[in-house]
Amino acid sequence: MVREMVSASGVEVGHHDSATWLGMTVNTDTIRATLVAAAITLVLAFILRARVTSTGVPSGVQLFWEGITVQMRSQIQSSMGLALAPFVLPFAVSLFVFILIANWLSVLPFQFTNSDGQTAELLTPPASDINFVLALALLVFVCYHAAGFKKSGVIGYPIKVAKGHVAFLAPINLVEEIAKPISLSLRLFGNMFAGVIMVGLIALLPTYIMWMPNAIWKTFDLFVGLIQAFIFALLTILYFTQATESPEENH
Amino acid sequence: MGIVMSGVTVLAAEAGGGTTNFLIPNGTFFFILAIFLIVFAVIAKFVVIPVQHVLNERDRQLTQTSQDNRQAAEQDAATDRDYRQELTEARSEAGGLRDQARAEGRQVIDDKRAEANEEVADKLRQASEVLADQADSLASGLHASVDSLSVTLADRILGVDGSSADRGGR
Repeated sequence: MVREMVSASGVEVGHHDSATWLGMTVNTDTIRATLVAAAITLVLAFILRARVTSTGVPSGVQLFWEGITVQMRSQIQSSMGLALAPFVLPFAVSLFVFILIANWLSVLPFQFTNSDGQTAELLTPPASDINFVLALALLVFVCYHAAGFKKSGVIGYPIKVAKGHVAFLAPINLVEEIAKPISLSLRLFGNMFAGVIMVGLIALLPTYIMWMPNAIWKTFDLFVGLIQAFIFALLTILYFTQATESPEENH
Repeated sequence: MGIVMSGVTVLAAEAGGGTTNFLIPNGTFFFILAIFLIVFAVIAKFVVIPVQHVLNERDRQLTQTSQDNRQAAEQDAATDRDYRQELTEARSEAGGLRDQARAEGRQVIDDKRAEANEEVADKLRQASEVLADQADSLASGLHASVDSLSVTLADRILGVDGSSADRGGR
């Protein structure tokens, strides 16, 4: 009922432009925004690569990467030590920067009215597409379980996961394991998707007042995007920690 | 929209009741995964490794600098200690030299004073000897002349030429 009302007002929820590539349906708008985010990330990475210095004055790009690396490294150090850092550190840094830039794309004010007369954005945040968040969350899920298997063995790790701290809570532990990728993906999805819906709703306001809630909302969206990217990277580190901690380290 | 009925899309179509359900993942999943893996590879290779290298290098430089500082402070303290020791030694040596010089000076003064005293005593002795000699010779000379003088005096008193008579009388 609600959805019909909203649709009637010109907001279509969860609409994606799609096409068929390699026999699969793909959301081209999500791919486009993801490619833009990836391109920005890669440009920043290559600028760093070209101008990295340990003796001279570091450039702004280097300070950006250094700040994130130091932050992630201290998170990893405080929670799991540096044993797995060679993998987890670049993983967490990549997740954080990629999600952050993808989320902040939504701030760019590229709105247009499409052929159906609906207000659409050229670059919707990719995290408002379930594919984006699921791809990242499932990758994290697979990677931290792989790290767990590597640490505790093919038989030891499932037992450790099921047993947790107390044996009789095994069913709850299993539910928790399944909930991890779902909550990880849906938390990011929900936040960014809400942002898109908000922008769509604000766009229904008359033009002479629309700018104000739009400016306020996009400013807040910057903050939400930062927090969500940070939470995603932080939870990734925590899941790796839980998967690889030794039983005697449980307190 | 040109939907091809892959497994995922069929599921989506069923769940959405005829239209695609945006909560059901489709092929986009794999493209996103591929894009992220590329980003991850680039960041791991071109960002995190150089940045860690830079951070380690900076740590090393900081450690090196603080070590240098500590070493410099140690050397400074050692030099100061040496300086003070040398100064103390030099002071005690100077004091010793001064004492020695004073002692030598006093010795010289004493020697010279003793020498002078001896010389004075010598001179006094010689002078008194000379005086005594002169007194003796004078006394003996006078003793020799006392006889004739007394005769002369007696003759003058008596008004006689006592000398001849006396001489005759003897």
